[in-house]
Amino acid sequence: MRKTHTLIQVALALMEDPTGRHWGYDLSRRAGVRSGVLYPILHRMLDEGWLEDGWEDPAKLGGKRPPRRYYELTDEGRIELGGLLQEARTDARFRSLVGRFA
Amino acid sequence: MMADLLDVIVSWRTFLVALAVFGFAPGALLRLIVLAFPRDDPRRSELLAELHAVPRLERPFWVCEQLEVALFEGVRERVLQANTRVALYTYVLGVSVTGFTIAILVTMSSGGLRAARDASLSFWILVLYFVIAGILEIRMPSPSKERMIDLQIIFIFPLLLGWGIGATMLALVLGTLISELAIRRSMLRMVFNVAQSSLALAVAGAAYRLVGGGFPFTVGDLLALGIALVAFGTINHGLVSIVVAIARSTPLMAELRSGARFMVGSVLIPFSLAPVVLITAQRSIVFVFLLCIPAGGIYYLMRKASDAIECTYSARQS
Repeated sequence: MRKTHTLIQVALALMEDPTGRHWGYDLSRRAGVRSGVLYPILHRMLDEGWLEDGWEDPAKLGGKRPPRRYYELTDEGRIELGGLLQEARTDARFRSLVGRFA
Repeated sequence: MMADLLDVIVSWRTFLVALAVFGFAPGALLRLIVLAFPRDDPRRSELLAELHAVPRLERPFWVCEQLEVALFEGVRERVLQANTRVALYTYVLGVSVTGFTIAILVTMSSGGLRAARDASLSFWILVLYFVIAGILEIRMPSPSKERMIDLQIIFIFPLLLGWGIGATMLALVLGTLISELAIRRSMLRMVFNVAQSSLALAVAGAAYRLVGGGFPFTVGDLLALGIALVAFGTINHGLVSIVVAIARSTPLMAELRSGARFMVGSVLIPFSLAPVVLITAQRSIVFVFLLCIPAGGIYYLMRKASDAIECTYSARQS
């Protein structure tokens, strides 16, 4: 995947909790990325096998709202995004971005 | 002035507008927006569910953002799907027309109708076995995709070697149609499968003659039989791989490579069995009936192997 500011921002947000579940709206807020940009990135990460998705169990929601789709990093995704952020730290274009979160 | 302002704030009209803008309008609008995504796209349900996580005050703006997502992602996806469908139908139609034309030409030019009419009972029993093998298809699970083991090939080559291409082509078209109808295959797939097998058999028959294969079949024709079987498997595999590559938008070479080993393996069984089945069928009708025992044995073992592999994958997944 091409290294861009938005990809680094999404990677940072995902790696804040590498083993947790991530939700679309929450992720877009934490990454500071519009959903129009976020979802294509998530889609590509799913295709690459860096993420896997799932749906909340409707039985646990009690019918108050529809089940939400979540995203989880795979082992491969953690390695790839870890490497990506490592590279970004040494790249002048992204240093300020990564520095804020380091 | 202040009183007027307060009047506006607490008026029914303002209340109803606020209710619409921050209440039901975002949800209703979002329901329309997500229709831009293809029917099977999980984004439809995802965005509707995600709306509940967005604070009410932000909802109108968030929904407008989704319009951008839907226009660029959803509509593009729909156009891609439509293009894929057109390509798929064009290909299937092309193969079907070519396959049926070749089948008719080969049957007519080789005297297939007359050969089939004059054929012994052994011929028709082998055709019956061919139909049954088509009905009892075996799905072999694999990590990437499911593969079908084609046991029909065991019976089609003895027919080719014993009764010639014309009668065999007729038997193949009729037999495939019957077995496909019996398992209630969709019309499109049925027509494609018949055409695909006809093309593969025509190429196999031509390859057999080209490399010097003769009738009646002798030991010296074994190499020609091997080449004909590889030609049959290659054409079959190639035609199916193109369908899969178009339908899944995957690279054709990857599809061809992924099933090549399986194709070579599936050719080895008929290579060893075709001469045996042919000689047995030509000796006595009783022997043809006995053939169902080893054929049933092969089916049983393959079925067991398929079940065992499926269990292994299920265990790994869980």
